[in-house]
Amino acid sequence: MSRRLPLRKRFRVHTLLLIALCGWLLMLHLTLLLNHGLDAPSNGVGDLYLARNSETASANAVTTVVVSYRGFDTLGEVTVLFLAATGIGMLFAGGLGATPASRDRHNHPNEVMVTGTRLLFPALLLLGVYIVLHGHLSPGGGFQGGVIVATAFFLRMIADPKFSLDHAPLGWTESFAGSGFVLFGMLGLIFVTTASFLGNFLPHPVAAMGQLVSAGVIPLIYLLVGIKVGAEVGAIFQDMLEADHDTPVSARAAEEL
Amino acid sequence: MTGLLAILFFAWMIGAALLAIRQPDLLQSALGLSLLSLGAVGQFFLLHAPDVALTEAAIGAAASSFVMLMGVRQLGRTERKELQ
Amino acid sequence: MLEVLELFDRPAVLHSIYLIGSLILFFIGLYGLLAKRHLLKIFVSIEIMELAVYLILIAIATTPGETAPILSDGLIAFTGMSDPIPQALTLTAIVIGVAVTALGTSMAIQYHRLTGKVSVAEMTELKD
Repeated sequence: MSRRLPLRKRFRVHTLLLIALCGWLLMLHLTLLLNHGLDAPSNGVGDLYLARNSETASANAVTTVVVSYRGFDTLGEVTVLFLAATGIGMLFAGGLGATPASRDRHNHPNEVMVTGTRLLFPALLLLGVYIVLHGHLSPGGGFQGGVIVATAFFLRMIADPKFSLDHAPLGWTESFAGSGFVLFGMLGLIFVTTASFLGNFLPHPVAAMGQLVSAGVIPLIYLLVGIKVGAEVGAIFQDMLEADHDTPVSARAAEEL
Repeated sequence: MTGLLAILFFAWMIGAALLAIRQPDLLQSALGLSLLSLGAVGQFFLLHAPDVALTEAAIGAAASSFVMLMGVRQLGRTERKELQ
Repeated sequence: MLEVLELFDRPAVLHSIYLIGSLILFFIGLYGLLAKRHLLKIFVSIEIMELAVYLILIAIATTPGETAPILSDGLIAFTGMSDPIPQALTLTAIVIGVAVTALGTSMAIQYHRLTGKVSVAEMTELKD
């Protein structure tokens, strides 16, 4: 990487040439493709959703698509998240060569971290809950708010070595939220008025659009998604931090950092 | 104005991506990834997608760099010369 | 000067800017994926490529002049808004992306613990 090396030693020339070729071909194809598609007035499924969106009484069309029209997508997405969190938990569950050493309490977090977290933790928690609850009115929703809440707890974990999230309650919260999601979907299937999975069976008058209690079942489902995402991302952070604590490597790496 | 801002954000993002790829110090590489996500937040905001911008700010800029930092702590900070 | 600024705001030019910029980002990521040997560098490259794909998806779906698909002050109908479906799909894809990166990083950490290696070039356990 030093300056004295000639240019052809600092890059991998063959890889670079291959990538230039790929880029040129892809650009050519995209240009041809877009010449046919972009200028015509779009008349896709998105416009249909937008035209019918006021029937759900949700002010945020993206939320409607995520929770209601494409609810199956969200269900599958939450499943992938659950599988990833489970995989990480299994990887770090011990057994696989990890030597369970005592957690080193010697590398204390510094003062700025501790004080800053004390200041930021309640504000971040409040912001996360606000974003989850206002998902059908303003930008945001379950995914964003859940991750913000998990980030707040992660800051707390870094700042205070004794603080840790227990795995059993996290697992229970996660299962409760996931089952609630499926239950709401099934209820929509049972009621005669909707008769579809994730149908909006609660009353949702269009006149109430823009108020906090509106849009029927959408805020409730997004709240469950928020709880589930928060619990899963929190579990991922907790697992990775625990893995960091119980290895002898961490002492050396911490000095480097 | 939108076009000019888009070009400026792209310059920021390409610089951050080059920092993330070329930097032998892995901590600075993770920092470059975080800066790249920050540029993408601005792009999504320009493109009238505030939901995606919020997601990218919460996940790409914060959560993803936490994951990378945990990896850097375990795998060591420097990328060895023969691996580049 | 102002004419140049207005030229940048025309829909075709704006789409081209986003297309070219995203493709440059994508191929920076692809170069990293192919040329780097360190495991974390490979994950960083994959994240850069993911980001470029999200940008293309959203930029192509939005025509300049449309508003965000959210009903707020002054708007009374869902008309003239950008397409909500690519935004919803991108939103879920970002969350999945970080979960998968976390899983990959955990695997790299566990591999480093078991063998002490950090490079894909040294992964020869299955070769013999």
